[in-house]
Amino acid sequence: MTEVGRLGGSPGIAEHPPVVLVVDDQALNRQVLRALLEREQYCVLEAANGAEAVALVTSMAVDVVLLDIMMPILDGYQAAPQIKQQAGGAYLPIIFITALEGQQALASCLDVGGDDFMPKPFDAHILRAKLRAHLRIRQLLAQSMEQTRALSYYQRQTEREYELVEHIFTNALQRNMQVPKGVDWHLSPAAMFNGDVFLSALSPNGGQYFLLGDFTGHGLVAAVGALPVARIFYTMVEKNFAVADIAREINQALEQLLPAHMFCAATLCELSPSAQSATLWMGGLPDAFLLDQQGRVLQRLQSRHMALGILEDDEFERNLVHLTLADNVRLVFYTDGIIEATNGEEQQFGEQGLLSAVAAKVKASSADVLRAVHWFSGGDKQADDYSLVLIDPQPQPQLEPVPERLSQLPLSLSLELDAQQLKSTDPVSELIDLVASIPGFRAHKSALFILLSEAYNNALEHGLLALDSGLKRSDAGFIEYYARRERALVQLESGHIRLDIAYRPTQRQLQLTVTDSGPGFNHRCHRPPKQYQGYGCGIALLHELATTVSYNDKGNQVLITYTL
Amino acid sequence: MSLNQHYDKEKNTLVIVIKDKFDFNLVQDFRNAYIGIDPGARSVEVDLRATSYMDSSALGMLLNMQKALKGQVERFAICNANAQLKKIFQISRFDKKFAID
Repeated sequence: MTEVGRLGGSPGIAEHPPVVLVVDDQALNRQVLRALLEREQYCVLEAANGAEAVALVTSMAVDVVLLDIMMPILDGYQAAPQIKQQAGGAYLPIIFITALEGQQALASCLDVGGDDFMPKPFDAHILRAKLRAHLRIRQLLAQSMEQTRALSYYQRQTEREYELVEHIFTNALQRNMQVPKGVDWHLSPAAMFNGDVFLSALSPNGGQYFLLGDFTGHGLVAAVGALPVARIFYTMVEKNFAVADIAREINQALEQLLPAHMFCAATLCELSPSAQSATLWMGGLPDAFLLDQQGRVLQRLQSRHMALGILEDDEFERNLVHLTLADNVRLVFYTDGIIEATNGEEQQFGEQGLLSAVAAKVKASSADVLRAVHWFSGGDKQADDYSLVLIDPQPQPQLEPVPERLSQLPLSLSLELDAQQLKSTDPVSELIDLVASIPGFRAHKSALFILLSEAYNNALEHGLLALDSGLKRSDAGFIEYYARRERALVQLESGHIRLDIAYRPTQRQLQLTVTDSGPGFNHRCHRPPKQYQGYGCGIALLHELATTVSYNDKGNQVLITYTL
Repeated sequence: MSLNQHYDKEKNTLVIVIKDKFDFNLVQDFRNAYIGIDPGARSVEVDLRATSYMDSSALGMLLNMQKALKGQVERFAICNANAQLKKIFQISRFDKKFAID
């Protein structure tokens, strides 16, 4: 902007008076012009020929050039193009001062790059007016150039930022994306800057999760909200959370993050691993549909909630839509872009247009629907706003945990708990957490928990507390049994339980030994029963899960081996 | 609270959600969750999405519930259990009395 500032204002008022370069081989002519110009508060430079003029323009800041034609060394016709070249893109006016007459001579002045001419002898008023006019044009063009430069700078910067954000988004939104079979979705490439987002993931338990969202507004601001949404969605799906919990968490994050007028209309959908049921949290998107394979509407699914990011956490509503899914049904979700697509007659594609497109053939795809929208709208420019998800629910195989390398370190651990410790600790959970932290053990956590809890509870309940499992035969007895357990444990004054855990990596075996100080119990009565009943099924399970289960003769020690 | 329940009127379903450990500590709470079940209930779902462990008393509790509600409720389901727990239900032949989803 400094250049613009220097040129600001008119001659005589400006802080830096405009600089006029007077080029003439006659010293007298130069003096006359200098006197005239200095009266007008111009700053004057002089050159005696074209070569000097070019040199001066190169080294000094010149605003306008008064150029004679007939000069030694380099004449005006030759100097003009070189001066213009020095000026680069800026407008440096050249006014020829000429005694030559005839249209041919004057036209030549303009042909070589001159901007104007003044016949000699010149009229001071006309020269003044011409100088002012050309300086004004110079100033305007300089301003315009500066603005163009600033604009293209901002444009480049914005483009760079968009590229960056797009990169970040692709990572955040799609790196964790797992799209199950049967899911057909379309989001335009520019969708993130339209504020539309689609996320899809599988939970460790095999649940299939989807989120289709539509942020208010466009551009970066709309895109910014998608980051926490994606992070929360993927993190919570990984932990098997229910859609209502995920929606609530996203709502809270957006409510805190976004300004009040910004929010995200969204539908979250969870399909059970068998794809026989679906649970939906619907906030603010247009009605979704449950369709049969021909595309006929079986059920209209209406949004029940306000969009995410509006309500405070304590106002949040969890109500869900539950669907039992027959075979070969379809779910269709979309944002308002599709139904609001208009044709030349200002008619909207509408819900009916969408449903007809889906029903136009069996198992119509998102591409089929989009073709119908484009055909309807005559390929209009809004095409970037269409987001559509078609789901043909399919059972998903449970994700197999990635097998971890088993630790090669042999380990053993022993502890003996006295009556006081038995009352006040939860040894099974703590030990299992410890054991599960050994590399390769995590996938066996639940099984090990059952084995150790079974052995430990038998030792405690039968060995030390002398409870009778027979009680557990009835529903009421079951409760009574555990009530007695609690009372007896409080009263326990002596006795101990010893736990020995040994891991032998070469045999891939974990050995659990539980010994109690009680009189021993008749384990032979606890053979696996033929039919699993409420009580006693623990022992049976133990035999199923463990590689070997054995007791000592006295019946106060059980030894379990488990193969990893 | 490691157990909560809600009743879904549209589906006539009682949903019991268990968090973290499903073991004998829940004996009373679990029974309370279904003892006063809505007379219109046709289905019970036990949601184990957030359960990482279970002991054999949990199997006992589930069977007791199934016995207690057999005449009234048509469908018993265990939902969203992790692979290890599913295996335990399978070993215990729970799929004969419960829909394991």
